[in-house]
Amino acid sequence: MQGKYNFIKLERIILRNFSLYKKDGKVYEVNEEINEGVYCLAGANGLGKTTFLNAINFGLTGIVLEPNKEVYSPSEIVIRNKRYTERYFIGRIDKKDEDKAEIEILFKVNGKYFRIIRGFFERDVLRLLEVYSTDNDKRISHFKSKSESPKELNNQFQKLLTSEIGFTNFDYFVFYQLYILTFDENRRMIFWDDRASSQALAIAFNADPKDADKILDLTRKMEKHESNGRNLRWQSTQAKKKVEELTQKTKGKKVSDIEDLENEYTELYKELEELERIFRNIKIEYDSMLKKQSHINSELMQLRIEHTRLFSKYSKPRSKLIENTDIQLSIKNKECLLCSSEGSHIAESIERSIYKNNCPLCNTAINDSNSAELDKILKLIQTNDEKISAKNVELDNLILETEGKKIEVDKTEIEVKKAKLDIEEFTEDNPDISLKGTGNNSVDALIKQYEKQSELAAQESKEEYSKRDSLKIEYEKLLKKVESSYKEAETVFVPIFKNLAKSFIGLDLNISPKRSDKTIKLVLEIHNLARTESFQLSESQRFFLDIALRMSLAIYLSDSKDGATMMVDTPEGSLDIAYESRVGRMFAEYIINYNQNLFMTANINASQLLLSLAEICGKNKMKFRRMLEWTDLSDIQKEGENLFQKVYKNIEDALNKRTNHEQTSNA
Amino acid sequence: MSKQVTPEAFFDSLSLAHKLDNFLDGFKLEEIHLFSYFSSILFLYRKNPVSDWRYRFTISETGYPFSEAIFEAVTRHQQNGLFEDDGTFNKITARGADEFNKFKVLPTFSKREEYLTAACTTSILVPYSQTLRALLSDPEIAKAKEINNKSWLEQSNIYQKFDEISKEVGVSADDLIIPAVTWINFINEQERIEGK
Repeated sequence: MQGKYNFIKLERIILRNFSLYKKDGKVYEVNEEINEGVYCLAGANGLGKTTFLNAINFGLTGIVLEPNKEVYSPSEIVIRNKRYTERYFIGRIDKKDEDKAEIEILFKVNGKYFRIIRGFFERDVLRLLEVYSTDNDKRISHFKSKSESPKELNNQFQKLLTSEIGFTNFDYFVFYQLYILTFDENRRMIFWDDRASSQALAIAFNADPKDADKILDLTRKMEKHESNGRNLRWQSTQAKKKVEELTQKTKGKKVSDIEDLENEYTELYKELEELERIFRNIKIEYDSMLKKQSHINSELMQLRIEHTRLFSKYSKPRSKLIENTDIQLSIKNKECLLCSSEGSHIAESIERSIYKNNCPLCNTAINDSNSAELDKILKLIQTNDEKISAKNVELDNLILETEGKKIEVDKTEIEVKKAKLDIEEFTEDNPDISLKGTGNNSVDALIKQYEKQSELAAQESKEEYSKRDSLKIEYEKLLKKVESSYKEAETVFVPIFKNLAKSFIGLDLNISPKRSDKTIKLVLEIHNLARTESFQLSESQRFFLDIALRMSLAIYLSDSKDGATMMVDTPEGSLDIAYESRVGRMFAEYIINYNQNLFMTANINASQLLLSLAEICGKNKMKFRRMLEWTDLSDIQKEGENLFQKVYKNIEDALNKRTNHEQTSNA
Repeated sequence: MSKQVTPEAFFDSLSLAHKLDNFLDGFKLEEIHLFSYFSSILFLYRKNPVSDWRYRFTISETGYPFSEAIFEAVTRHQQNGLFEDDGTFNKITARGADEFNKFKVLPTFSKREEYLTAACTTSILVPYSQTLRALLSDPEIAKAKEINNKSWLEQSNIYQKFDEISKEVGVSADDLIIPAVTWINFINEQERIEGK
């Protein structure tokens, strides 16, 4: 499974008539060669760094993800982001340039070059598609557009690219490119989003790509059935309410506003779902703590057994003379075996000598040959004792933490129950009232109609839920398969993550898949305790751990020849300076040790990150570009760029220093 | 030697011997059992679970609390010349004191020292004979002695009583010696009244 995909490597990006980048009234034509290793685009805020990243992803996928939205499954991404994409470049590109504005991307995948041109307002068509490879400077064409329509070109592109990467479906490429290989703090994170996590897992850890299709398909279907079930239940309640309304109307009573009720009902359901999600997560954490407790307890027991063994060994009678039969006899009979003197003082005298390690006969001090061994045992006892003590402290802390977690579990459980009760009460408060007829024939007929409708909807709702449940069985089976494939992959994948995460956060972190009744997801563990809720780490720590996870997936899944290209819109601010240089080191680790590529944007705030990255990568592996000449700067931006000047010089120095160092050592 | 030694009993007996020898100039072996029992009561008084003391007590034929673990440890100390019998009392030898100093710094033992010290300190503050009498007339011990019970001493009743008395006189639970002394005085006073 490892290295099963050939991800793309960017070679050149050209933006034509992209009027966001305008210098002295003239549109600046961006024409960037993308190097191996890190390509870093740096500039003050508001210059359009993120836009550049989005433009590239648009060129590749035809989609710009709408920020701050839920994670969509691969097949939904296009539909859900279509409108946003179509609006995205309006205003960024001048009206008059709209037709001419286009992006050209040259990239390499599986040894073949793809050259594509896409107009910024032509989401699902291509202006040009070329696929070729090179052999000793000779170009071998694999595809060249002839008379295909732009739409056909786009279809060809999707087909060819999908097959070169190794995906079964272009939607998966879109999902991977936009959600996994691109990091942007306004788009969802993988660890802390159930859907992103489960879908990334399903695509990444499946021996059979068809299984991934099936899982995603089943997820969709189950969600559909669930939402149908809920809607029908709502319809049923509505119909009941209509009945109530009609009955009450005839009695001259006021009815509550249906729309308000509808909103209230939806809110109650949303709350219940959110609470159930939180409950599941806390339960996972709590279970993991209990597991850990029993683990420590058994470790402690082992240590105690060892302690007893060491003490028993240490306190064994030391003097060899005590085992001597003549001496034993003399002590027992209280009679000296040499002079035959008798009395209890004989035994005492012999014992005293032995305890002093002197010979009872000639009073010579006996060389204590086993004292070295005793020292050795004593050292072992000391070490063991420290271990026991440390484990005890760990256990005490854990017990305290577990108690707190248990309270959280109980509290949330009560909240879930309460939310369920609220829904029940709500349904009871708006019940199907008993009808004795209103005396008005036409109204009675209508009431009957509604009653029927309500029953029907209730019945259908039940059916939808049972359809969902019947899919669950197959779904479970497939999740189990993912889980076991993950277990196989773990030995390679987890160490990659651990290594990256440790270089950043300095702690031994672990990730493991956790199953709940609905889904499978990756859970982050710190000191062997599950952390599922995002608020337990600082925001910036979360960002970079999420990047570490994406990098690990990229490394694990990419073919080792070319690696993958991660696109990172560096999150701004909030990181401690110490962590910043650690992030730089983590990025460098990804690039140099794992031979991958990084396309990143950064502003001046992240200078320490850039500096440490530059120090390790050097010019051969890192290109540092400023956006100065791309665009006119506002006063504030100028100020920002001035500040950047110094930082820029430091980074250039760092890059050169490393390169010179390499040259010297090569020489 | 097939028998195992309990590390905590190994240390407690050494530590108690060291203290009793200092305070009382020699000790009897059953006093090691008695004071380790007293220490464990203080340990319970601090709300620690009885199992954490790591060895338990029965009652001996002479009516003293008795611990198999302490017995085994004391035997080894004698065989290795850490304890010495001068005919009337046992004493800790220089080598024994040396061993005690080696072990008292270990983290798991240093915690026990607080209880062992508190138990022995009472014998300075209260005449030793009174301490002895109070400890031995503890109802649980008395009862076990009466019915010749060989099972573990419960230790929960005595601790509760102890707790009640401490609360009654209003001593802080942070301190161990004051409640210990109060308790001994209380039992003796009760004995005196009953004796009258």
